[in-house]
Amino acid sequence: MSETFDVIVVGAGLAGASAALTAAKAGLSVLVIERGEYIGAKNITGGMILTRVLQDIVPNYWEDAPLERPIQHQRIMMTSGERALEIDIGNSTFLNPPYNGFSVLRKEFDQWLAGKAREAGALIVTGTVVDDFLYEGDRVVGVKTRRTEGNIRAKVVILADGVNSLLARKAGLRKKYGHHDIGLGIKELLALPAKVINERFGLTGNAGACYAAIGDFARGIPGGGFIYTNKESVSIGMVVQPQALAEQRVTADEVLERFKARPEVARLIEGGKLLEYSGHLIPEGGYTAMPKLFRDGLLVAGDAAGFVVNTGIVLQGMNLALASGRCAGETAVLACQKGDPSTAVLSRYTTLLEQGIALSEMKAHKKAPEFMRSPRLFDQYPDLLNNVMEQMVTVGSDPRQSLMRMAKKELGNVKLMDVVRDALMGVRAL
Amino acid sequence: MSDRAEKLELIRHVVHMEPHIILDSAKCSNCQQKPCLYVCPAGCFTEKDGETEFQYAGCLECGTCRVMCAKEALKWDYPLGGYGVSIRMG
Repeated sequence: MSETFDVIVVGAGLAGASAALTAAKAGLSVLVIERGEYIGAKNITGGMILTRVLQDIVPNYWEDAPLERPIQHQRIMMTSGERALEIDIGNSTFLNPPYNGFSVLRKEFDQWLAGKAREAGALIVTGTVVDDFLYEGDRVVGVKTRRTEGNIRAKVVILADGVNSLLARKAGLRKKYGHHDIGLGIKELLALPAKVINERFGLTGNAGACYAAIGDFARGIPGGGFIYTNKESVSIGMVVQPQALAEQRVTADEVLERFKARPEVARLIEGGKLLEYSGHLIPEGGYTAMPKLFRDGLLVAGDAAGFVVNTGIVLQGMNLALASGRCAGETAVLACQKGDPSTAVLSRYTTLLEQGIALSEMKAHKKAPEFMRSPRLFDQYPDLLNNVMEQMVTVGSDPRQSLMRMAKKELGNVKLMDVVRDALMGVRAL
Repeated sequence: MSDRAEKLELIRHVVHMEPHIILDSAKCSNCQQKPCLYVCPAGCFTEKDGETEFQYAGCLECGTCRVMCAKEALKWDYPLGGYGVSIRMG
């Protein structure tokens, strides 16, 4: 391939496909290079995609996108010993266009979105690893692939090569991850008939539900469990802090089995036939852990740039990948129109990211990673809330105390300053 | 409770003869914590007679070992294009 492209996108995940679609739609020549055997071969999700950004990129996406279920019920589960507190945030308008979010399986979904980029004119090559960049002075002017005669030139290169972006480090944009900048996600996909899913999760038709769970099943390991209903399968998994696994000498899989063994969870997944087990890193460091987003001739998007927000209940990654990819695509269009891919023009990327949700969400939840690391969040608070709720529903033979007194007594087990600090941090972070 | 070995058997891999991750065992010898034994979701790291052993064939390419290895004993790269783990559903 001796041709020069306007844009080369590294990675055909959601950020890459979104960038390619945007640039190709504007008439640029676009090459997408994917290292997987096929599109989606390296991609997994929990997972639910929040779809408002998708609607902007592919209007009326629901008409042909391979979606599983629109998520009507978002549930929070806090376990403590024999008790489990569940909160259901249900919204039936989420079952109507433009919806709020859908459960998805990534292989099909990513292939569909990449197909949209292809329809717009982008060329997509799979089974090819990009190892390095071509430079002219300080400017990135193309990529070196691992194929013979694999150097390809472009006016702008967009990196969307995921959480382990070796290239972002090579380009000097990213420092090494700290141990707290990553979360390890593992997931099982369990086959269950739609009828069984509906009965157990309290759903009708194709409506979906998800759970975010914290509590004693993960004792000592900051992290949480998740469950998402698909059409005829359930995604169940955990996101945990690897450092804690090493310290506690326990594997993520063992923590997941403890979660699955909780009676409240076991009844939901009983008899589910295992279809797939998978694992993936999540860049959870938030705004302060983001790399530099561009240099001459180069832009970074999606997981490679750390576009993930985790507030414990709402997890954003795929929508931010779509949003940042789109902004990168638009910036590449601008650079090509001006014939100038220098940082002076590429800095427009930051402005676009700030005007949309990508950077504004990252900034708004800047303190979320710190809050999510509080060990109290994962054990003391689930215990505390369960204790208060238990007393609310239990009538003993002793004189009744007011709810406020019960709560105060329970709070005695947690240092008041810690509660105040967590509450303030929580309000600021989430 | 399901067995991890059964779970791992379901993963599709296209294994290339050339390992994409290389472990420098000499660097492991004075590592006390050995995070790799616990953080790898595919159990690619094992301990035998006090020595850490690594097999790349079952690797999920998640990169956790890359970040967590306390001794920087891993030469970590992606497998050749088209090889390695191939997620079937995601």
